[in-house]
This record gives sequence, structure tokens and C-alpha cells, in this order.
Amino acid sequence: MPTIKVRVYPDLENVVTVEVNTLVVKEVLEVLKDLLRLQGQYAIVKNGRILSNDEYISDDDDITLIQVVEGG
Amino acid sequence: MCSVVFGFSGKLLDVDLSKGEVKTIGLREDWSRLYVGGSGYATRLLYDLISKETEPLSPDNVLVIMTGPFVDTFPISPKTAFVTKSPLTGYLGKSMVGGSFGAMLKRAGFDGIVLRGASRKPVYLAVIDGQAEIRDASHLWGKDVLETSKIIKEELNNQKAKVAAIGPAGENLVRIAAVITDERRAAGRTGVGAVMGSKKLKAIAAYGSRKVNVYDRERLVHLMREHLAAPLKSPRGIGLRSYGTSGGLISYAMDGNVPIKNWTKGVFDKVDNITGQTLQKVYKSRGVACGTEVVCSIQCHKELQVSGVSEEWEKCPEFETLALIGTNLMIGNGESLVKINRLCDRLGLDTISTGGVIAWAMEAYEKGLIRAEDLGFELKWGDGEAVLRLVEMIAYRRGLGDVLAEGVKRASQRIGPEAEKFAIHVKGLELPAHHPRRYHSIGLAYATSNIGASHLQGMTMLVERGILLPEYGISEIPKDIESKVRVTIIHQNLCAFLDSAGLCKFGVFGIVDFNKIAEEYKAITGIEASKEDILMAGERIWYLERLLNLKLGLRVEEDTLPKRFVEEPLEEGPIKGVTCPINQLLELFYRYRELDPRNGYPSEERIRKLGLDISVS
Repeated sequence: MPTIKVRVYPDLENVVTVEVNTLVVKEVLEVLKDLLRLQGQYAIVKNGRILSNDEYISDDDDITLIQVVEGG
Repeated sequence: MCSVVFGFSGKLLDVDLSKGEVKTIGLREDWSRLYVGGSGYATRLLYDLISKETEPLSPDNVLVIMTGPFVDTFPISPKTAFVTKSPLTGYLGKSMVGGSFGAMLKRAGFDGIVLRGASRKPVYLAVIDGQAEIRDASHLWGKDVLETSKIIKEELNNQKAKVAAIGPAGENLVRIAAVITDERRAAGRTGVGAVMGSKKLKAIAAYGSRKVNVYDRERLVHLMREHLAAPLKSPRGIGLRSYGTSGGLISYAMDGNVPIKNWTKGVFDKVDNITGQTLQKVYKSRGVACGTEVVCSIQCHKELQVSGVSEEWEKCPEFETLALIGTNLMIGNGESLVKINRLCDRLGLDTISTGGVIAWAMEAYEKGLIRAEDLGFELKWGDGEAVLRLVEMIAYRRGLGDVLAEGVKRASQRIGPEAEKFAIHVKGLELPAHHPRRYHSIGLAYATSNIGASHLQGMTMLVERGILLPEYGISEIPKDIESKVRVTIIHQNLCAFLDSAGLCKFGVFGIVDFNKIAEEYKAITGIEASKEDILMAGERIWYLERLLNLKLGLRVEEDTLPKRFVEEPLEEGPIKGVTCPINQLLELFYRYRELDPRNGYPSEERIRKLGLDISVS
């Protein structure tokens, strides 16, 4: 199974390595939220950009999960 | 006139500060039905009281403070309206504020206050349990907002009183001055603090224990319980509860939805230092409701303990402040931002407009249009200490601060045509942080908002980010011009309703749908309303605001965006190469709103259908 490195913003020093059975962003998000017991809406950031739900990440990617807060 | 209208106390204070007279007037039931209350009711009042010739900072201007039916009947996120002729735009000035000042005003027995004239000496107004008294405030003039509130509470021997006060910025008629309520919430926009200052009115204190009648209390309690639970099940509610609006900065920055370097850059490499998540990790933090009388499960007001700043809990800067003073000025130091935010609040300055005018000054400095000799120091991007000095200079109108105190439009006109090109405003009001290149509908909302560039008069960026309104047929993210225009119109109408009802938008969009709001409105007022009626009431209020602006001299060419967003794409970042197609958006907007493209007036037919009690002519 593919492996990805995940940080949960703002704890950028802590890296968790996770095996996932999909590389589609939308599905990876669901897996990670479940695994890491996260509530609310999250997005995957890679190289300073939020990935859209239908994009793919790669095996061994280093990604950051950020909680999406819709403020004013 | 009426004595009992559900959701209201039925009385307003009419204060003539020139004569030192305080009268009580009745709430007009017909207006409370047509224009709901809050900003809608206040705008209707203002329509009859001001004209094109009214100078905003003269005794002729009128400031109306007004609550809506939801304030203190529905203690979830209440908002109170400050409405006047804006000294920044010359058109409708409006600022909504949370906290408990409005609730306490109602408990004191009044739905609102009409402030006319100007006192010869500084005064404050004490509204306590059905009585109102104008008191001397000579000893308060010059004091900051926190000191003022503290002294007034001591004088009244009432620590539970709520105070709305101006700081030195309002006293000095700084056109970007705010009114601060509850010591921490800002009625920031459109210069309402300067209008209060022009009347020599330092503060208003309110306290009371009266209860307003509602139509169906049992039903209302049930609906409140449901509304309170809703944020805890909604992604938006969970996000705001976690970090407040400051938590929005990181995802917005990764998405290209923040201003950087006066809107000329697409990437700011120090953004991680100043996000709400980082600030609340680095410093001890807590979340509270925006007022002591507010029952809100979101608790978006976040506070920090920053030892380098003070020993007290300090307000965590909101997203708009982190963006306009942080990324826009390229300040990547959290402690600096907490200090600047604190200073703005104490001096009574709107942080959005302050960030906008200082960004312009920094660009002018970079271009050699302002020199270090003019300032007494260098003004480089990212220099938090220089910004602190400049904030004080603006509030006290010292040196170049006297020019910046006029707001970015007038300041740039003073420097010359070259400087006007990068003055970022709509109708004179500095832009908030959501990006018109990223979300084109917010560009349209800024261009056509009745108060100038405001993100709260049509929060369309929420829809473009997936917070939809299926109850109004918006079930997918708008992609084309037509759907973006339709979404903008619906959102503008809904925001006009919420500002009039006295409901916080953070507790509604993405939290509960408007079928629920209609039920709540009926339980409070007894007025049978569907979601369509809510939308129509908001539409009526939007046109009322438009007609007021036309009466005050609004020209169609002012419905526009700064050219920077239309002609200058960014060269980097998530929105590289993108501009806002404002002319296409405006053309369709005018058609759907039935506005005459030659003069901006709505059709008589539209006004008649909406039932406004004023005519187009």
C-alpha cells in the first residue's frame, strides 16, 4: 500500500507516516480524518497549495492537513 | 406608532445634542414590518433626515443606533447597527457590532437611539432602566476606550452596564474611526466613530432589566436549543469554535484569498507565523462569546495571554486584521500584530481601513511619493514598529498621520494622481481581505455594496468556497458569470435581512438554513414569514439603501473595483494571471437588479412590487 507523510497544522514538527489504500485527495482526507479523529472540514496542502478533491497525491508524498475555517 | 410590537420594546430615544434634549419616540410598526428593524429600520429613519448637502461631520448629520427583533430575544450572536452618513464615502454608513451593548439598550427600555446635532462640550449618554441622561464627559475626552468604559462604569456604580465608546481617533474626527462596545467589539466600518466624535459624544452606557415580549416563547425556546446545537454539527461551526475567524488565514492564504503587499503579491513566506492556529499554539488562549449576555455555542471571540504585551487577556486579532495589517503590510510577527490590534482598539480605529491606508502609504514610500523626512522615520514593508508609530499618528492626526486619517481615497488625492492609482477602495471605503481576483463574486459584492467595499454585505466568498444555499436553489459552486451574479444578489439580500433582524452571519451561513430563520422570526415577532419572505424583506432593504445613496448623489461609475484587480494580474501564487471581470459582472447585475445603467436608479415597477414606502423619484 502507498505510504504518505502527514503533518497536522500547526504542529509541523510532528510527522505521522500513514498507509493509505487510495491516492485520491477526497478519499485520503476521509481516511486521515477518521484515523486522526479530526472534526470539521480539512484540506490537504502540498507545496503551498490546497489540492482539490479530485486531484491525486503520490506515494511517499509529504502533505499537511489544515482545518478549513470559514471566517469573515 | 404603536405601544407593543413583539420583539421590540416599542420605544426609541431621540437625542438632540445641540439642545441637550432627550425625548422618547414610538417605534413605527409599519416600518418594523417593512424594514424588519436594525439597519433596515435605521436606514429608513435616516432617509427622511439627511440629504445630499448634509456634511457627515457636521451637527446636521444623524447617527442611528438600532437593534433588531432578534437582539436580546434570541441571545445567540446578536448584532446592533450603527447607521449614519459616512464621512468616508458620503453615502450610507453602516457598521454592525456584536457583544451585549444592544441587548442592554433594549433591557434599558429602548430599541434604538437617534442622535442629532452636536454638543458644545464633551458628553456621554447614560441610558439606565428607562431613563436617559446627558452627562458631562470633559474628564473622559482624550482617554482611550478601555479607560473610558472603566471610569463610566465606576461613575454609574454599575459594572454590568455596557458601554459604546470612541477613543482619541473618533474625537479627532479620523474618518476611519470606530465605536468600540463591550471594551472589545468594534463597530469599525465607514467612520461611525468620527460621526460620534463630531457630536462630542464620547460614549453611551446602557443598563436595564426589562424584558421584551415575544410572540411564542415556548416555540422560541425550542428553536433556540436547536440553533445552539447546530454549530457543533457543522464544519463551519466547528472551525470557528476551534480558532475563531483568525483560523481562516492559513487556508485562505493557500488558496490565494488574502491581500499581500497592497494586493500586488501572491505569496507571503511568513504567513505561518501569524495564523490563528499558530498564535493559539504559541500563546495561552481561550474562546468566549462576544458579550457577557450572549449565549453562543461558537464562541468565535478568541483571547490570548501574551506576556510581552500585557498581563491581561488580549483579543486575538480577527482574520481581517491578520490579513489587512499582517499579510498586506507583510508583517510576519504575531506579537507585533497583537500589539497593533490592541492599540487600534484602544484608540478606536477600524483595523481594516487602518491596514488599507497604511499599505497604501508603504507603497507610496516605496515609490518615492512619501519620504522618510515627511514621516520622521522609514516606512518599509514588514516593519511592525513603524506601523505602531503610524497608528498613533493617525489617531492623533500628527504629521503625515493627519493625511492618512482622511482614509485612503482622500489621502491619495492629496498626494496626487500617481498615488491614486494604488489607493484600494470602493466609494472611499478601504477593501476587506477577501480577494476579488480569487472570488469574482466578492469583487461584484464590493463594487455594488451600498456602504462601499464590505465583505459582510454579501458574503459570496462563502458560496464560492462551498457554503451553499440549497433552500434558495444554490446547490453548487457558481462557476460562470451568470450564476455568480445571481449568488451575489441573493447573498446581498440575505445579509440586508440579517443586519436588520440583528443576527450574526457567523451563526447562520453554513450553520442553519433560512427555513429555520423564518420560523425563529415568526416565533419572535408573530409575523408569518417563509424563506421567500425573508429574501424579499432583504431585497426591499437593499433597494432602500440604494435609493438613499442615489438621493445622496451616488453615480453609476462608482459601482466599480480598483483597476488593480481588473488590469493587473499577479505574477505568482495560487491566482497567478487572474483578474476580476467586473464589467461583465456589473452588466448582468444591473440587468437582474433592474437598475438603469445610465443613472443607477431601480425601475419603479421593482420598487412598487417590493412595497417600499418611498418612490423612485
